Amino acid sequence: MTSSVRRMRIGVLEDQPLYREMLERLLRSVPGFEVVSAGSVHEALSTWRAAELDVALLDFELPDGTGLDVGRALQQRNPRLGVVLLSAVDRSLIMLELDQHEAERWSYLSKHASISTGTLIRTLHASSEGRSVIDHATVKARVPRAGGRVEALSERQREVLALLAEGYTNQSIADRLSLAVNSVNNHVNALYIALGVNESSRNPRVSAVRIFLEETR
Amino acid sequence: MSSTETQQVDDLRSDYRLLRLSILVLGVVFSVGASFQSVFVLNKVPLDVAGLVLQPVPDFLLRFGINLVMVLIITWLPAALRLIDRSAFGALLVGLGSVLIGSLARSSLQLLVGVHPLHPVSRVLSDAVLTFIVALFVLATAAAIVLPSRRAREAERERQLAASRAADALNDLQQEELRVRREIADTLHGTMQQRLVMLERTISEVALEAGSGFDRATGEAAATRLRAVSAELDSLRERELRELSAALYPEALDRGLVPAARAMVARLPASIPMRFIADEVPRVDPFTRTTRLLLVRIIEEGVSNALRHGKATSIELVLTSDQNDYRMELRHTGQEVVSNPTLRGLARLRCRLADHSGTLELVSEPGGGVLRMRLPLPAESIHADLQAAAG
Repeated sequence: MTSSVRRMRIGVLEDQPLYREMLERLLRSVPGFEVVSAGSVHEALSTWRAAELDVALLDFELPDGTGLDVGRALQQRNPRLGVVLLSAVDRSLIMLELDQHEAERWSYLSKHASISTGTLIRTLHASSEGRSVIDHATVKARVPRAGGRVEALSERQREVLALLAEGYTNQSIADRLSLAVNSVNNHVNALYIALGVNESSRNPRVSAVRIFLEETR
Repeated sequence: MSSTETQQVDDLRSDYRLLRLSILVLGVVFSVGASFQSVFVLNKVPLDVAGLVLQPVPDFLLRFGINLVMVLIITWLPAALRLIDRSAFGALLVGLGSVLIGSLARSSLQLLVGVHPLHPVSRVLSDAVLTFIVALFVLATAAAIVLPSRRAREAERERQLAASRAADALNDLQQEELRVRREIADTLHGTMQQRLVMLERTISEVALEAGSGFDRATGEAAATRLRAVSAELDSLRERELRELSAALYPEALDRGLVPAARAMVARLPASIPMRFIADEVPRVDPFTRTTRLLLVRIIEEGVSNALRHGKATSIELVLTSDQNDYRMELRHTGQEVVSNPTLRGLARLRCRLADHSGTLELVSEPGGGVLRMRLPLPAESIHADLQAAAG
């Protein structure tokens, strides 16, 4: 069975009606996807049943609050809920406001990226599976800050780190870079050491991505 | 001496003037009364000075003079020993001591001129005790006149100070708003306008070329130019408009000081090494939006100074808090801060911080400098934090 037919319940929170309708239409066209939508924080929190959702797709800036508040509130009711934040301008640093364990199921997409069906579906799946995704354009636009640990990585390690930030598994990274998965494993381990990430920690990927966001601009 | 200090000295002088005047008036009234009673009401034996029996009026004047000596002592001594500025115990000691000295002086003079014979001693003693009590009453009454008036004045001064601080804070806020408005207007009319004009011109030129029909080469050139326009528009939207928006209202301010400070220093060019270290502000950010805005403006001004005057080669921002205070340290390496630097924007912000009892200092360090800020945490947040810590 492919991931495209897996049943997934998605809550869409967006205050601009046209954009919300477009997202709904796009998601409903995917086999297995069920969508509920809301136009405000109040509506989402009062009408959605968090336990019945797999992923919440939340606009960040809303007239009566933020997607961050909604995501946290929903995750309190359903800790396995994946959350994808959307923003028109680069707000990827929001991910640094999340606790380490919170960040595991949170993703960030620019609104530009969200209208690409492939990216959106991949991100929703990854978040529902407990991975964190930052969209490709946002990751690509970030430049390592001088004097930081990310700048000190080799070019290949930086490439691998960028793909980790985009939420790819080691196997997917190997496929994209045309490398053997063992080779990717070695790069990942080496960059964990270079970044000072404890490999035995609960989620070293999340720690590495946090460092990526902190030490790039 | 500052105007506040001059006012404090004037207030103090006025308090002691009132104390002395009250003692003097009450003391003189009692002295006149006692002397008049002795000479004209009780018809005591007239005083005999060196064999000369005094007539009633000189007799009255001599007795009054002796009483006046005591009055002058209890008028001068408490003021000289700063009675009303002492603790309750200190004031009691000064008061009792002054009255005792005054009473002893009076009794001694009375014995000297023969108002009382030395015997019986009990009579001398009872007169001295009575004098002591009356003098003590005079002094206590004078203190009771001065102290409430002093408290009322202090309360009034405090109210005036609070009103003046509020007016200053409002004025600072208005000035700050004007400055930000001017800055935004300058950016809109300057950089933004210029870039938009250039973009408009490029698009018009491409449109003109399109009107006359493209061949392959000019079509590719036009496409390149349009892509450049698109990139420029994207940069205007993502950077300039965002910075203007942040100038009006710093990014992430609603979510707390740490996110707002992080968003601000994250805008530093990637070529400048930057470290941001933050203790989460207690458990719940205790600051109002106004205070947060002030703190973010301080960081912004500090970063801007570090870049402009300090030629920063690296910047580190550390936010920490303990039980009582919130602290910020913005350290840069680059050009060393001169001793006693002239502050403009920071001086304005320091005044606003002082309204919240905070402090701000810019000090030199080898190869750079550090801007240090301390702000007392609001009492309710400390209370909430202690409660949370208690579980």
